[in-house]
Amino acid sequence: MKLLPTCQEVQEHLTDLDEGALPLPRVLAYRFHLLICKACQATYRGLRALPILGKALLSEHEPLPEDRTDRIMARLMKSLKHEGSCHHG
Amino acid sequence: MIDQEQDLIARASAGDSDAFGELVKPHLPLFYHSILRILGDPADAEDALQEALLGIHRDLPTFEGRSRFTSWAYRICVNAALMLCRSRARRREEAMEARLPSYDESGLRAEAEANLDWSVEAEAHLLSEREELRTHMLAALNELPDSHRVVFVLKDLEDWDTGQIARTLDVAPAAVRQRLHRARMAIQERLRAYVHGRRP
Repeated sequence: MKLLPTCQEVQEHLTDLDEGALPLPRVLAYRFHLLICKACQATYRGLRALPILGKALLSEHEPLPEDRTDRIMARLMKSLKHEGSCHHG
Repeated sequence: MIDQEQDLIARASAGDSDAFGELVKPHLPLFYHSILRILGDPADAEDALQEALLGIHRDLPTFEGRSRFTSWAYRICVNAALMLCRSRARRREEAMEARLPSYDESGLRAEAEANLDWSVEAEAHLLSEREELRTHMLAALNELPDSHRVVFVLKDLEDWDTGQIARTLDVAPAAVRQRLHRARMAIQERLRAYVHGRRP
């Protein structure tokens, strides 16, 4: 490993860095690079923002359109009634 | 509310289909959207949701009430999505390379705007142009190969830990980290392009 890692090397290992999956010498080299490199700082901040943005944008609590709910429920009831008649028949 | 839910669970467990419908209907948005995030395709999500609902119905008599009904049922939905994901034709992984950043010989990003911080602007878009940003986020997710999208969703949206994802997908933790990183970088590229006003 070179003494000073390149932006590519740092950016390719930012998730490993966050996950504590790198040996200490590389952690130190990457952290030092991040201190002085605005491009890598921006990429790192961007990666860390993704879960927050993703959760805000793709909420599980968005309502379902009524026609989709009706379709899902109708299909479910049909399957349950079919299952029921198989068990009793 | 809880008493009513327990009553519905008891009746549904005893074979009352209408009670089962009443039990699951309020939770359909949660179940559907968690499946859709993993599969990316609305038609596939409806199929997986049907499988999940039938699984919930089948296993309901074994539900002991140690966790909340929604948490228990939600896990069944996530598993149904993962099952369908495994069984459908895999999207080609090679397409991934084109979505990752490129570097010059000295390991620097070629495009100047790649060095700009996009995340602060994205947070501003969250307030003013939420729908458009959501469209780009969904498109970025849907462009990922299944193997990468699943990892991103489970880790960054569902808050699973890396070991749990590795065990569920039967891959090494290092592979989970690598897929997660590539997924994050690809999504970031797409959102950066949008936020900085360039066509992705």
